[in-house]
Amino acid sequence: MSFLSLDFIVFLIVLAAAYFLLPRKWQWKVLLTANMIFYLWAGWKYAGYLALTGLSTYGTAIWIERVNERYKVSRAQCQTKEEKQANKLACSRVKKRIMILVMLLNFGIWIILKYSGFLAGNIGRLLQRFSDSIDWKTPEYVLPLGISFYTFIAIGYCIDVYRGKYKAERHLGKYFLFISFFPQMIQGPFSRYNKLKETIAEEHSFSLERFAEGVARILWGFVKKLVIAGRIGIVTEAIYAEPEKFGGVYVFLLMIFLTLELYADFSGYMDIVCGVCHVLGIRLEENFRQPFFSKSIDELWRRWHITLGAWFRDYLFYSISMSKKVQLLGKKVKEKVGAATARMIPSYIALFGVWTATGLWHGAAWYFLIWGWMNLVIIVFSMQMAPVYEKVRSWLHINPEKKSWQFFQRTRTFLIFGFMEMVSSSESTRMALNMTGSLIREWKWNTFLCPVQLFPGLKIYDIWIVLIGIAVIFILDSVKEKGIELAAVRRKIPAVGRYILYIGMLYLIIVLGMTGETGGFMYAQF
Amino acid sequence: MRNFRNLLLFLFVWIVFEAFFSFALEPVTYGYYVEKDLEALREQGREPDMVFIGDSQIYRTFIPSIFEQELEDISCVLNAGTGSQTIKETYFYLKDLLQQYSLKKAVVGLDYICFQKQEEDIQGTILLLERLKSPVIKLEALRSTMTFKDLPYLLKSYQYRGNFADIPKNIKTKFSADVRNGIDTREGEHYENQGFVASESIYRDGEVGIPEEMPWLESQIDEEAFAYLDKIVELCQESGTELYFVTGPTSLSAIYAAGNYEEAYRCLSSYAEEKGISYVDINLLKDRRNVLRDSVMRDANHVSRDGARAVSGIYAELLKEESRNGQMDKKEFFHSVEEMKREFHQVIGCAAVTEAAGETREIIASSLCGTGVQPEYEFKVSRDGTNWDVIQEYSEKSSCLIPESYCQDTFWFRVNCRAVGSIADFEAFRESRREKE
Repeated sequence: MSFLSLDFIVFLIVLAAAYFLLPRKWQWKVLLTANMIFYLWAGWKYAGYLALTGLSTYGTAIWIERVNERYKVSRAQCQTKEEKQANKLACSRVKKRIMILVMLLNFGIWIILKYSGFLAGNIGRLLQRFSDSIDWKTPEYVLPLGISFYTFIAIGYCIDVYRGKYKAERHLGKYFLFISFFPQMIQGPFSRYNKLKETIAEEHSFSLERFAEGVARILWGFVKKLVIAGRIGIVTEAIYAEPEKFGGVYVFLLMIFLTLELYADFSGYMDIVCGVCHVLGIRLEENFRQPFFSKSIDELWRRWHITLGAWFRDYLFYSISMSKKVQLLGKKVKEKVGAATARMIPSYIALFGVWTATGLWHGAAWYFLIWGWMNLVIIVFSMQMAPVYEKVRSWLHINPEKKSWQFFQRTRTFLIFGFMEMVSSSESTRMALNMTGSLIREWKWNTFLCPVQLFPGLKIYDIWIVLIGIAVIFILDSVKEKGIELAAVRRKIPAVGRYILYIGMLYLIIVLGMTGETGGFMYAQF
Repeated sequence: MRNFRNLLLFLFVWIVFEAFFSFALEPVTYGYYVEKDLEALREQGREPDMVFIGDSQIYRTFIPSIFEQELEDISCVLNAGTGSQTIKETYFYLKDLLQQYSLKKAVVGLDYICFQKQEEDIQGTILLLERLKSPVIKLEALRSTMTFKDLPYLLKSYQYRGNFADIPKNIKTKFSADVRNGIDTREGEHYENQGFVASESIYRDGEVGIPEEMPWLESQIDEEAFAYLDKIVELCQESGTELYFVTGPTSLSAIYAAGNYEEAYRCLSSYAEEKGISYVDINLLKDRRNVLRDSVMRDANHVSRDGARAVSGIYAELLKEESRNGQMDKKEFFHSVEEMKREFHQVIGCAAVTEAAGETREIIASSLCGTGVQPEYEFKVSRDGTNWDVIQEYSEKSSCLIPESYCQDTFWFRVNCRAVGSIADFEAFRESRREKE
């Protein structure tokens, strides 16, 4: 069920009505039913994958907890310190095996479905170099709805239980409610069990104020997606459709437009999702925090798709950097490279793992891997060069608090990010390289003389809508950046003003929304 | 109480927004003028006793005033054609009209396309729904013509959302004196009176070209359309209205492009015969070479005002004849499409495009021909669209290179086409302007 369909709107209305009209103790059951309907809408045959992941991770968490309890009992019987240590080691070994098993099963399914085509394609191309007669077939699977999200969320939950962060959920229904929570099925966020459970399983009474705030956020999300991102999408599609025609300046513009489109699209989706949850009284983790106010790529990734970054940080970065082997390696090279660099080695290895995984998570293609590694290189380079930058800055007498300097840093970060987006949105590595080349080769300043030409595919009034839309997004983001809560500002507006605002947004969607023309959300493909 | 007041305030704001956007986005439709005309008729104490009903072929072809003059037993005629009207929609509209007026005659347009399964045109459906007066019939029509996903179209702001750029123009038009007085002053095509829409001719003889191929496919026959046609027959029988079927005129090119127009004609004429209803396909007019020539066409599938005048006169004569003698005398019509096609041993339509060919361009021509006709082509180019240079005399070769000097600037090209052995200057042609690159 597309979030952009009338079906979804009706689904939400029915859900909200059932959620608040039925007895409150049934609310979680209503939500679970809604999750199932949402999931089965996409095709009943994919429900098996969700059931398998749900059951395996649910069982694993309980199994791990039982192992813990068993070893706790046997620990109490241990007499000596050595016995206690051996008991702890045995316990950890068993838990690790269970975790490996559940990860192999779930990541295995996910990898087969998502990456087998990519892997087989590469193997096939390699084999065909040796012999043309090899007929290598690339398997193609349809990715079940939300598999990337529920797999990561469920594995994250198991790891947390494994680490003893919280207790395993004993109630199968409530566990399924958590991993199949429909708002996060298409593009996330990656919720954590301990945070979502608190709010998802609570009983919520209806609040008109909360309802209005939720609906306002949903409407704003639709405006961002359908009115702004939909129009910018026409420009980016036009440039990608004829890359040989649109070189130089247009590649530069593509970097900007792609970033803005992705932000309006993805944050628009998040607004819809958070708005839906807000209506129901559920607090969902935010995925964006004014990313274009970031002064470095590293900071940007702490403000953009926050929950994905946090997932990789908590479950991959720390797992790698804190692993015994990597720590040992750091110690081994200490004498050769010096203490300062050796200290960084575990982090760099972990970062390599994180960015390789992040690249692959976004798509099964080499240019996604290249995109991930580009991020890695920029982040590592910035970390290594930080003292040099500091010296240069003081030599140039640049005050880091000065607004012009901050503006430069933000613009630089935006453009670097835009460049990487351009690479990751290309159809092939060759295309990305060609476009990068044309950025320098075919640059023509006179293209700027006719501003309308800078927006291929858009009419004059569409261009104005895009420009005004982007300006509004930036103004609202800068207000939030100053720590002002938008909902609080909205609450101060008299009722009639608020209604004009809400209905105004509704009519922006009805009249200017690219409802028929736009596809789904950009991030949904991941 | 406060919540109730807020709810009322909210609804008020919503209504204001919807009213504004409906007004600003909705263009002045033909339906608006029809309403004006019906109001005027009511004031005169008249009401329609004959209707023409069907799709665009109907409202662009049949002029009510001609029928009012020619038919003695008829005093007031309404052309109730609407764009893309399906047979199902015709049924609901006719039912609604029969509830308002006691109709003596109803002429239902049978456009072949209406009997082939096709994607429904929701805009057309909405325009028709707006014309329905009876809430019960409206609801019935709504239920059977619209799907769940079409519901947003009931909001005018959504239905006309594509007209955002036209808001200033729409508002200005709606406030103009002409429109308020029910006078449509649009160029090219405008509403004339009692449902008839007059179009300007845009072609010269032989210019219609080659329309999109739309063969009659047995597998695509829409059974539902025939079921609703049955209902129309029953409806008219119950109300004592004389029912007629008519297929509006199209260009000869459109008939030939269909490939098997004869099968469509056979299917509909046998249906009419089975039901005992008089059916005329205007396309089978023996004198169509003069009456329905390309220069009276609005496009490949519709006639202009001149064509409409001629066709209305002919059809009015047929109805008059039928009133007098009890049956239509179709001696002015071919008995079958095959018989008609035998009369046209010529080139029917011509098309041409230019393609890059090294430093210059090449004109590539194609033609639509009568049975057994071998075409020949003549190629001309011009720098100003007036003075033409023949670059290739008549020959069977269907392509020709344009001299390089022409391609450096804007130029015109023309392809004349005729049957081998013909002495006509041309039987069909294609003329086009190519902008400087």
